[in-house]
Amino acid sequence: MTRLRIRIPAVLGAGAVGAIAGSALDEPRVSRAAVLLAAIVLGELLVLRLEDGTGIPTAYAPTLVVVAGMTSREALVIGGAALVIGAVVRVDHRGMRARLATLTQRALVGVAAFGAFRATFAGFGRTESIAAVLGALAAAAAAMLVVDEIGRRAQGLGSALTPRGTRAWSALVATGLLMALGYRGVDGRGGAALWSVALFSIPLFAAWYSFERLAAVTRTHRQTLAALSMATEMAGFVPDGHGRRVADLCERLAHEVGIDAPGVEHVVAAAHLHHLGVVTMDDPPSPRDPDGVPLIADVTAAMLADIPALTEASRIVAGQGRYARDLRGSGDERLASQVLKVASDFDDLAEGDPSRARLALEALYASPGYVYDRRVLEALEVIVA
Amino acid sequence: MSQTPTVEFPRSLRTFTAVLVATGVVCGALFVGFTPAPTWSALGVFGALMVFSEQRQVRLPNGAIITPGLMVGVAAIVVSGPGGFLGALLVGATAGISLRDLRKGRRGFVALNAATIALSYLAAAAVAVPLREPIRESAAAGALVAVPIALACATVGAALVALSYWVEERRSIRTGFAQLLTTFPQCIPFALLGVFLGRLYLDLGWPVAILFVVPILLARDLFASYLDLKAANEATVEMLVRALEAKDRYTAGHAGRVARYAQFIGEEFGFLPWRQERLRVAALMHDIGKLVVPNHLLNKPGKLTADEFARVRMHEAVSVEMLRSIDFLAPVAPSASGDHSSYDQEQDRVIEPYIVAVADAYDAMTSTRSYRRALTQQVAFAELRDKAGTQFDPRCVEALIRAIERRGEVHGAGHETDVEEFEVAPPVVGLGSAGLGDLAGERKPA
Repeated sequence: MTRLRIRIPAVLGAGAVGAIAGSALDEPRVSRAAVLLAAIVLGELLVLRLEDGTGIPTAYAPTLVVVAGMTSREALVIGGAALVIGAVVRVDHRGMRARLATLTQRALVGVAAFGAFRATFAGFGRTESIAAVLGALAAAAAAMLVVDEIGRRAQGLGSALTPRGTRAWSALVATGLLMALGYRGVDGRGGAALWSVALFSIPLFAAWYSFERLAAVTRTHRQTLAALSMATEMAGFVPDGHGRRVADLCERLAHEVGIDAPGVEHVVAAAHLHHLGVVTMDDPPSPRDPDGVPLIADVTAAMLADIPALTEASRIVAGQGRYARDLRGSGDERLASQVLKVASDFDDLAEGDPSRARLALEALYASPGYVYDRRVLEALEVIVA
Repeated sequence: MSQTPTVEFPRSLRTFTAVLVATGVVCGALFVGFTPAPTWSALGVFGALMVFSEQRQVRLPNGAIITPGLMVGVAAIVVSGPGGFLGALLVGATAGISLRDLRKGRRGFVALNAATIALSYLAAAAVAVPLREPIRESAAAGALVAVPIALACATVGAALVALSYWVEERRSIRTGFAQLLTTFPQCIPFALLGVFLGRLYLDLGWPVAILFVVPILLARDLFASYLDLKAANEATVEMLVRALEAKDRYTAGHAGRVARYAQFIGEEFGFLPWRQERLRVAALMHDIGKLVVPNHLLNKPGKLTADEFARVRMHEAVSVEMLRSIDFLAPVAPSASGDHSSYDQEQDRVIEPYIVAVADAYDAMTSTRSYRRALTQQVAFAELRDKAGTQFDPRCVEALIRAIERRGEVHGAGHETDVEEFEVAPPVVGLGSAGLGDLAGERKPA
């Protein structure tokens, strides 16, 4: 954030200087180029943050303006300059190689969007109608999304088509289309030139701010839950790292058995907190004592039940203290409780030692059939393998 | 700008609401008779948008409501051209319709909100309609006109709401109006966007209206998710504090009071809201490491053995470690350390740990503990001042005393709010009492 506090005003200042210089020289093209260049570079700094910490740059919105409102030559100059400056100012902690990979990805995204816009607009016979311009812009946005997604996969990043990613793309495409329509107008109507870029960036900025706040509070919430799992470890009730390892394994197991994204979050929260109740008990049983597990699960579940955001986690924790055959509630809840029970029991046996994983798995399989859900054990087998 | 329907519609507001509604209806009738009709199809689009966006209000923690309603209202006025007065009344009335209130039969609130917003938008139209030509012809003129539009709307809205507060509760109109008018700056960007949405709609038709609201509604949804998750995190921390107080019942309410006193000091220092929030959470969690201390040690009557004392003191290291593992709190993690019960001007860059140390000591002195009864406020103040510069940061000490005196609050002996029934009545004085030993030495081992 500190770097952004310096770079954002610098980029805005440079854009303003360019715009004023263009006006002073009576060269509106210079003003337009300076403002659009600044908007794209700024968009490289302001990314819409996704669940996994990666982001989609808001630069894609003003890129659509360049694609739809500039000549090929102008687009080449502005796009090229934006790529180079963007690569320099972008906040990226992954090293030079990653910077070059991102630069290549952005170049391909820009070329694909430009090509798609021209081809689609030509397909409409280059008629100046709202349908033709909007259609061509939609094609450019779609090309952008596809090439960006391919670029992410090539860089080993996760898909951006997550719940948060889908919202980010919706905001970017809607704003980009509006900026482009407002900038160029249609058949001589509606062209507000740079005003449209400046004004329509306000909703996008609001979206960026919301994404940032949500990303920050998500990180804080996860860290708070992880800190709580440390409490039981520091008190000596469970081995060091148990909470983190169980949470990691729960996340993988939950994906493997097909639990949806919000459900995975609930299971991970439950995993971090599943032994927390032990710290409040006067005479706590060992979490490894078979009779103690349901008691600790019930006390923990009661603690969490009062917190609206943790009621799902509370039910999962309560279920974790029971055998598969004794579980009540919906199918998803029962499955989530079993994911937690399998992960916790597996870690009790393996204690984070990979060489003991196979033996631990066999021990779980050797339990009576009513203890664990076979689907979860099979998912664990896939992960262990 | 809308009212908060938390209770039955007050009887005292019925006449006031009827007057507002009648004013709106009379104005509407006059506009029907003497001004051109607005474009009904455009008004339909913006009316639908208004209902849609008003159902998605975001309520901030301070009670303020954020809604893109003004943007849609101004756009409707611009689109309606000379019929903008009638357009403003109709779209404004639509803004007041809350489906939730209607379902719950709160028709009084619906009528009051609808009339208030309709008349506020009418004020916006009084600026926008005469200037409709410049708005259409020049983007710069449109941007300039947005400011008086926002001012007119905010002023009339604030005046009507302040008046309703006076009618209902006899609250000062001037104070209410001044407080409500602070929403004016946040009205400007919405008015600006509304002007340009209207212009673009006139040129390019309805698709722009749809495109325009997408990022705004997404931003709203994400912001609402942020507020929900923030509340969830606060609830988690509070759950922890409750768990802690369940373990150590003789310190009931301690964490909450320390957080409150710490915020008093933060306020005196002019901390920004984010820093106050961080201070509050750090103060709430300053003893969180006690979760790892066995219950029987925390509640042991009498003195602790050396081993037991070491075990209890371990909670400080655990608290620091837990706070440090949360990025948001890491810079103030030393707040949970006993090291900050000794003041060292040279060492630290953040003041929060010293604030928490003073707040913690003040509450410890003014609360009854198992080893001694609460001291009086005067004794506690004297003790803090006596140790200022050695044990405590003098700035924090003076800030706390100033804040408490200004509020006229009295704590300590005879004024405790959370009083626990002790198995063995604590002595009037004991270790840790003012003048009888350093506060840092509370509960020294036998």
